[in-house]
Amino acid sequence: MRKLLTLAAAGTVAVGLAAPAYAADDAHVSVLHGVPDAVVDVYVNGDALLSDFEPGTLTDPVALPGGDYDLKVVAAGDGADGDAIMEANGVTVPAGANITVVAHLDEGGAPTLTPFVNDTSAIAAGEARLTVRHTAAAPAVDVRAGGDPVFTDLSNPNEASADIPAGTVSADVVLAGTEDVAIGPADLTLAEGVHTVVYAWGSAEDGNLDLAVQTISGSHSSPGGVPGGTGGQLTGSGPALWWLALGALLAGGAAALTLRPQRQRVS
Amino acid sequence: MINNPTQRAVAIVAAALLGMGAAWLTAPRERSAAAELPRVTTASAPDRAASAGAPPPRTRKDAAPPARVRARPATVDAANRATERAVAPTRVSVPSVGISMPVRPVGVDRAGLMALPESAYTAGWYRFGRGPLDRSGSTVVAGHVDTPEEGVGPLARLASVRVGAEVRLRAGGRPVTYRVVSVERVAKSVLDLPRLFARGGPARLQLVTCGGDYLPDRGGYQDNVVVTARRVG
Repeated sequence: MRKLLTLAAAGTVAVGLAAPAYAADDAHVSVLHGVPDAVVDVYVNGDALLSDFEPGTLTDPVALPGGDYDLKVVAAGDGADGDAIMEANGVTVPAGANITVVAHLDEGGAPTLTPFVNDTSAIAAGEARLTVRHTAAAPAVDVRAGGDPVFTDLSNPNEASADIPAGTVSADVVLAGTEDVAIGPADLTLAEGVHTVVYAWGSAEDGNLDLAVQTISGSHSSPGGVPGGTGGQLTGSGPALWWLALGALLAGGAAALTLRPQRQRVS
Repeated sequence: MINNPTQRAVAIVAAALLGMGAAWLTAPRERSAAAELPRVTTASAPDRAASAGAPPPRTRKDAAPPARVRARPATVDAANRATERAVAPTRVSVPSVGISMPVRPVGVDRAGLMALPESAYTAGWYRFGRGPLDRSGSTVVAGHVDTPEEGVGPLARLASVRVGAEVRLRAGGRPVTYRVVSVERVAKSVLDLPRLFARGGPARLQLVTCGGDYLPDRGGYQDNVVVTARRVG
């Protein structure tokens, strides 16, 4: 089972290979701990990356050169040679990719590691990107915002994503196709130009399902322009007005006086 | 020769109008303050560094996984708290040209452009960008130069602002002061929007309105007048 999930995870990472724009850059890798009750140490290629890593916490992004990595998670203090709680060997980290490796439970409750590639493509001005990842020992779910389903039938270890207007949404998670609330509701601020990733984690059976949230900034866009004027009067609305002004000038000085505001307008 | 003050005023106005009429006849495109500004065809230098907000790429050596990486609680509350929320400016003034007008927060319109208040007597602050109290990036305040109902508004005078002039925003109940470093007229088609709306670089104010020729068939005014001011207090 674990092997199957690891392969699925490798498939997830391979998607990142299709985004070659950052080819020469390091990858940025964050790690989320979503296995309840286990304080762990994380090793990468035998080197300690994280010590005393607690459930429900997320690391800052770590810059890593693209390549294949062996990931190993052991109980805190067990050392590099300790028994693996979770392990994933030969995980391909594409250069330039933004990746979150999640230590979590699979649907049946076994600890596993899943690397997700985070979409860092541009987000339109005024919008936010919301991604929901099912990383809990729980059946398929629907994710609702303001009571309306936005992502349906999401199962472990899959994700769903959409760009939506920035703002605050009241989000909850229900068992797929039902009104049975599994998590939430929680008010979630979706900041403009920010990719907000919500993880459902924990175990339905143990009654400790929860949400974890990661925010990834830097994908914002500028508006398409500044409109700035609707009257067309700044430039005198074309020649007619000027002929009128000259005509009035010839007609008499009094008329010129009444046109004085025009002078202020154009000088 | 002309003793009556009214007559003199009439003569002066008449001369001015005649002069400008002639100017218009000979050079029909130079007929507004905005039009007299040189049109910038490429991004200017004052704060080119602004777009270089990202740190330099790490070398391979630095990229080795550090032994102690920070982990933080990934709760909904923590994420909501971390959401940056800029303090909105409520008033903009440029004393040297007599501009003083209210400012309200705006976002993006349906066409993806910066949304502006309908009135030429109210300016809009781009609420998705930076605010006056942020330590970096552009605070963008923009408004219509005119409207069919109101005629020409106060922002028409932006084109006559001089480098070095003071600009004030009111935000969070206190004044924030800027000094103008450039006044440009830029064709909308080549305006460097990522630079104008930059969220990094030095803290600065961008005051924007319209100028240049008004071509209704081509989206109205063809240029933007952009005043860039550095924060000084």
